[in-house]
Amino acid sequence: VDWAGFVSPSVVIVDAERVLAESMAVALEASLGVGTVRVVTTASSCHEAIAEKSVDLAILSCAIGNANPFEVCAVLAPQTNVVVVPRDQELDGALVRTLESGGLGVVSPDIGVPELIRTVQAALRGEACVPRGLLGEVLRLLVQRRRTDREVLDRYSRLTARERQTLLQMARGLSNEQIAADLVVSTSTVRSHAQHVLDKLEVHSRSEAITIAIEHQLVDPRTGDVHP
Amino acid sequence: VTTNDQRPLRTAGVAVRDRTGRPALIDHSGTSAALLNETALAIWDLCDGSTTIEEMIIAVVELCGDPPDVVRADVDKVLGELRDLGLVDLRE
Repeated sequence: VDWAGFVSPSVVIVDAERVLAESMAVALEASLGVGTVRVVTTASSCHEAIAEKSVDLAILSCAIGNANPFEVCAVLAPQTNVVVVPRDQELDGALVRTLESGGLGVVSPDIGVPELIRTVQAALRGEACVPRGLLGEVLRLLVQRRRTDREVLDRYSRLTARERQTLLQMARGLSNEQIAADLVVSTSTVRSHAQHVLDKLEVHSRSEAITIAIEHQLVDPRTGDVHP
Repeated sequence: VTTNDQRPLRTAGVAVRDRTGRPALIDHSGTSAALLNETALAIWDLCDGSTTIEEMIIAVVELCGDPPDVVRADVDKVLGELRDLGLVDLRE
């Protein structure tokens, strides 16, 4: 067994369906060693488990209560290898979202134990986890995603500095009056900036503009950063 | 072999898998034309005449995390072989 430097790997499985998670844990411990796999049923208990003892790999089920597994992945991924176990029918979309969240990939829910162990071993080595036969579809989705990114950036590049500031303040949830006070201009000027933002981004509503701006990281409402 | 702006197009071949799940391309006469690995099959699948080679490389880099020059060489090799087999047209 190639542990790639792990003396005793530490794995946590996060799944609200405990019986499934514990079955998976038993199967994995037969290969990884007794005591190497912990099971938790919520995202918050996963964070606690990791705070208590560092983890080499987190296996996130899509069934983790109200938490979004991809958001949990994004929080964990900088420090921990993460794979997601999606529902079968959303495998390709889940794979792209996992990769975008910094995870290594997905474990298909319909694989058998030997393939599960191979996948987990690869994930422990930090390798990408892409189910066989899904690679073409995922590459196509990534190509499409990059094209969309480019198109949005092209539209965003038409915005003036003032319009970009207006977009940022819109994303922060400020009203036109509040934005006017912040930019030291009149409310009608802000209204005009906001309309130009919608026109140039080719969207029909403020919420659509905000969604695009955040999804494509044109503005960051938390830090106040604006894409140059 | 290739340039970034080329948009390869599949000109022949059908993707199949053997009993062990290994991918292969066969030509229209049914003769086995090429055994592929999963990445090569995915590249062939992207040869739709609209995806540029640069887009292919960026997607593979994003997925695998390998250095762009390594991916570039691999994509070059795959497309060169597919072109030599008459399965892909490397058009601008």
